[in-house]
This record gives sequence, structure tokens and C-alpha cells, in this order.
Amino acid sequence: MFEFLEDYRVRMENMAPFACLHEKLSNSKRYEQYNIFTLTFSTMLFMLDGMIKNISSDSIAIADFLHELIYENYKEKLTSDESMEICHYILFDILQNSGFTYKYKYMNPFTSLPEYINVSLIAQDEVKIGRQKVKYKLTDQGMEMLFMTKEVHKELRIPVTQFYLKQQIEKGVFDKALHIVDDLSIMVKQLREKVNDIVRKIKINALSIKFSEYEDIHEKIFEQFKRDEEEFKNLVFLLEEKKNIIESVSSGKRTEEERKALILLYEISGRLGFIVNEHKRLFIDKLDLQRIYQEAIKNQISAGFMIRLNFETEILDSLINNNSSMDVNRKIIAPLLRLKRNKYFNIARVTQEQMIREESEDIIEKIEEDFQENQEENKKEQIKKRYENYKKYLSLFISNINSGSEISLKEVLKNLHDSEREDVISTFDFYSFLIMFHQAGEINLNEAYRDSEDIIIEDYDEVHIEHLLTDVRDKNPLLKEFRSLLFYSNDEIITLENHIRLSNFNMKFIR
Amino acid sequence: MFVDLENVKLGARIFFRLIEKGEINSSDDRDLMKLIDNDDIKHILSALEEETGTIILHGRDRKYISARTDNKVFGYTNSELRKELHITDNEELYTCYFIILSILALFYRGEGYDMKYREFLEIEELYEFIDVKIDNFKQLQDLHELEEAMDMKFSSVVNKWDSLMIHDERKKNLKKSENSRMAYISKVLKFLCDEKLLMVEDGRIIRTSEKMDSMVTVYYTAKERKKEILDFINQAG
Repeated sequence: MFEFLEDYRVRMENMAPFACLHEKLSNSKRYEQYNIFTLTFSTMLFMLDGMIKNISSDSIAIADFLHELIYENYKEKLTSDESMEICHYILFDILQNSGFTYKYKYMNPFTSLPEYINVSLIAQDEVKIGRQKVKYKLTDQGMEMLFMTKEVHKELRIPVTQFYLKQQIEKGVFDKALHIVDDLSIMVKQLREKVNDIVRKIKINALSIKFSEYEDIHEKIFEQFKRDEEEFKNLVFLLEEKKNIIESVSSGKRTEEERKALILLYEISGRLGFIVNEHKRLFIDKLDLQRIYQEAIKNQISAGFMIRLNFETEILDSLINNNSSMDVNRKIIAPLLRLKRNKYFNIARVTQEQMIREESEDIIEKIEEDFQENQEENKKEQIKKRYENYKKYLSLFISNINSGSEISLKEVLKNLHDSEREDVISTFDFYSFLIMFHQAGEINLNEAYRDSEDIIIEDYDEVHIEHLLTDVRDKNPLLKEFRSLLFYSNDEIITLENHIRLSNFNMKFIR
Repeated sequence: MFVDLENVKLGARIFFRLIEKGEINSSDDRDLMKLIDNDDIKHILSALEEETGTIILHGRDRKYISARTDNKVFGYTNSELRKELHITDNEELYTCYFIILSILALFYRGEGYDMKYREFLEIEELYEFIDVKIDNFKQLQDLHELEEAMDMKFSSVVNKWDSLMIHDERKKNLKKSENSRMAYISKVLKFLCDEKLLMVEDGRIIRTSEKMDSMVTVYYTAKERKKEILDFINQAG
């Protein structure tokens, strides 16, 4: 018929997420006082931002975000329950269509028949059985939709981003380049998920879909992959070139700007190296595809041909209508259950050596248990005390933070009364505090606050930096303005009044 | 056919591990997972499956083992299942079976890859689904007539369900209570979570595990097995 209609399904696949979301939101009757489209779309962007920064979004983080967004736009302060309620509405009722995959219906212009496209915008990430807290991520379709709103088509997304990156490196705008590298990382991950999805579909449905169909999709991805790979090589080369130029100047003669640029260039190189490796791993997958397909065919033939089965109409309703006996139900459910393991008493055990406990042994054991418990109690007490000390030291640094958001150890100690300073520098905990923060590197504060929720405080097995920061943040709202914290040693060596010599550390809060 | 003793040993090792853990996967049992694709070992495993009344199911990156219907050694009897579910009589057990089948009915109604119909299910919807099914049955049948039957039939689920209150708000631990419909739903959910077939989020959102999805999509959709199941239902009816 018309050649320009050939890609009709692909076009509909791109259209489907928008259409489904739009229809759902148009029919939404709840929260009419807010612009629910903006709230939903912003939630998706919040999740995308989290994925770029490698932070999974859970319902608490999303509720916090919505709380802030509503306050900014409507000057309404929701309670945490209200924020969670609207978060659940967006997360479950809208983005997950109350648990049902969206189905987009369109007419195939070649066959005049209706066809359907399944749409899922978000999915669960890191589900652990037994763990109540669930993290969410955008699906490939959800991400695709967001990327399309930036007017970059999926096949061109990696090359365009590589091009931007190249431009920024050439112009010497390295901090922006660093952000672009993060964008690239998520795109490569997306490519990997796409390959995984093909493999998954083959494994489950090999018999009902032609291999050539998978091969087509797969080929398209790998054509793009080859182009990307070439450009990655160019980028690595360009970075090396830029680094060499700065490093040709001896370190003593480098300007402050050059020094910063070099640090950023190393950071970009490191992250890019990781992405290139991820990208390379996709090649191995390609080689495996044929084998996976053959395996899947064999497995499915051995399992019998797949056929349609509707549990409700074909099984449950038939059981009810036939007023079936209980045993029929047992037979249907039985294969789902784990195997029963029968344990039998072995008569030979009566001839084996038996341990007979004497009462005195019990007493000794009891004493040992008590001692053990006491030891554990003492340890918990010590950790609690250490935690309180750490909190005090951290608060000292924070209370001294000036408008520049940076303070040195020397200044903190100088601002203390003599007796207070003596107390601080004579405690072992003070030095372990300095080491702990120094070793932590740059701490992403939002991530730390979020991780702290997973820590069970009652255990007190060690001091957790995340918990400490969260605790201190609650008393210092100023901290909420900062994105990360860096505790680094500057080149100066200081001598304390007790003659201990150590680096003069700086605590820097970054917005 | 010549069988290498070494391969028999390896096949038995895989089979034994499956019995021990219920599954093997590529992260914990990389070596065994590689061996399982060897043609000789496959033959040995299928002989073991046949002789022991078990079936090895193939998931995404793992293999599961399951007992075929009526397996006297590895399968549970009604009384053993009553113990697992912490219930006392068959009327309660049938009610639990019915709740399990309702969960399956709400999640799976497609074909092969698309068999899973939804991502999650809320407990309230499950409750309403069961309630509607039971109501429909009551409208169709004459219960007095059915109660006289000796065998444990679906009507006993109706009797049990009708005798229970919907929810007893005084009970904090529903899994240990026995006087409400929600208590039975909770018992079943706990049992299926312990079997690693389900997950329950926030106490109300039910999701199926990868194990459940693999087992249902692979086991029940095989042509001859569907026929077998429908035969049970029709013959027993």
C-alpha cells in the first residue's frame, strides 16, 4: 500500500504512553484543586533524576517531593499523611493504572484490524521478599516518553548526547560535561535493559514469536551500538588529550582553574570508562542470543506447547459450577508448593554417643551467657556514648559554618572555650570521628538521609554516618539547603595543645 | 543408550540440590546451572523427574522443582497442609484453597508471555472478588440440597464464609485469629509469602513473585496439563 505507513506500529508504540497517560489524567476526578498532570509528570521527572543519580525512589521520597512541589505552587502545607495519600494516588492509581497494564488500541492500516500495545510507565526496583519498603523506577517506555519530550529521538539519543559531551569537553565546560556523562550512563543502562527484555521474551515465548522478529529488533539495537562505540573511543581520546595538555604544565605552576579542570577531567574519565565497559558487555549478549533462543525452544517443546488459560473462567468458575470436591482444588494447587521433605528418626542414633548435661555445666553456661549479655550491653552503651559524642562534634562544625559553607578544624577548635577544647581533644572518639568523615569521601546528603531509614537504630552495633547526619539535620534546618558534604584535609599541619599533630581538616557543604 | 556414571552423579547432584533448596539459580549455583544444559544430564534429569513424580520448571535465570499432582512422597496431604496453614478442619482448608485459586484467577488470565494480567492486587479487591463468587454460587444452587452431600464440596466454603464476620478489629494479629474472613485471607497470604510465591506491601498490596510467575506460566499453560486439570474438574463434578 503506502510505503510511508510501514512503520505504523513503531509510531503507535511511541504514541501509546502519552495517549494512555493523557486519557487516564483526563478522567481523573480526584485532587481537582491541583493540576494533577503537572504533579504526575513532575513525579516521573523526579524518578528520572533519581535514576541518573543512582538513587532509587521510594514512596517516602516521592511523598516528600510532592509535599514540596505543592507548597511551592499552592502555598499549602500538606501533612505527611496527606502527602503520602496523593503519592499513592499518583504512584498506584495513575502511573500503575491500579495494577493493570495500560492497553492502547489502534487500527492497523494494512489489515484494518484493531491491535493493542501494552504500556507500563513505572516498575518496582529492588524487590526483596519479606521487606516492606519498595523502590520504584521508570520502565523503558516511561523513560522513552520523558526523553521524547526533550525532542531527542531514541536512536539518536546516545549519539546526540555524545556530541554534546564532546562539545562541552572541547569548550572546557567540564562541570556540565560531568552531568552529560551521567545522562549517558542511564542511556546505556536502558540499552542493556532492552537487550534483557528481548532475552526474557525469547525465554518465555520462543514458540509463539518468530525468531526473525526478535532478530530485527536486536539488529537495530546493535547497529546503533556500533556507531556509539566508535564515538566513545573518540571521546576517550579527546579526554586524554585534554588531560595531557594540563599535565604538561608542572604541578606547581598550574593555575587554580587548571587544577580544578584536571580533577574534573579525571572524574569524567573514570565515569566514562565505566560506561564504555557496560557498553562493551552488550557485545557478549549478542553472541548469546542464538543459543538462548535454541535453549528456549527446546525447553518449551519439552514442557509442551503453550496455550491460553484463563484461571477465572476456565478453572475457578468451573470448580464453582461443578460444586467440585476439595481434592480437586488440592490437585490444582499442589504443583505450586515447595516439595515436602520427610524427616525420619534414624534408629542408629540410639547407639551414637550422647551428650548428657550435668547441672553444674548448666550453671557455668548460665554464667557465661550472662557475661556475654553483659559484654553486649556494655558494647551497646559504648556505641551509644560514641554516637552522642560524634553528634556533638558534627554540631560544632555545623554551628561554625559561615556564609561560605566551609569551616576548618583549626577554626572550630579556636572558637571553643579552653576547658571545652581540652575535653574534646582528649577523647579518642574525636579522632575516630575525624577519620570516619575523612574516609567517607563526598557524601550525598539526600542519599544519606534516605539510607538512614533502613538502619535499625536499636541495634547500636556501630555508628552510622547516615543516621548521624539525619539526626543532626533535624536540629539544623540550614543543612537542607546543601546537596553534599566533603571532609578533606588541606595541606596545613596543626599541633594541638596535647602535642598531637594532625592535618587541618576542612568541612565543606556543597549546594 | 550408554550412560556415563560421572554424568549420573552430576545429574543426581543437581536433582538433590533442587530438592534441598527448591530452586537453583545462576548466582548461587553457577556450576550446576552450566551442567544442566548438557544433553546427557538433561536425559538423566528427565528420567529422575519421571520416576519421582516431579517436574523441573525453567525460569528466567533459575530452575525450580515442583511435585506433580498426587505425588505421595513430595506432595502435601490435606492434613499436612492444615498444619502448615494453622487451621483445624477441612472446611477451613477448602476455604483457603478457594482463596489461593481466587488470587491466581485475578492475576493470570492470558497466554504464555502475556499470561500475567496485572502487576498488583489490593486485598479489598480480593475480598470482594471472593464474596461475589460465593454470592453467585448461592443464587444458582439450592444450599439445603447440597448440604446433605457427604463429600466436602464447594458449598462447604459458602457455609464457612457465611459463618464468619468480615473483619474483627479487636484482633491485632489476623494470622492467628479464626473468626473473620479477613483472618483467613491473611493466613493464606502469609502461607504464600512463606512459600516465596507472593509479596505483600504495606499490608494491603499483593504482588506475585518471579517464582510464582514462572511456575504458573510454565506449568499450567502446557497443553496436556491444562487438559488434565479440566478433566479433574469435570470428572469430579
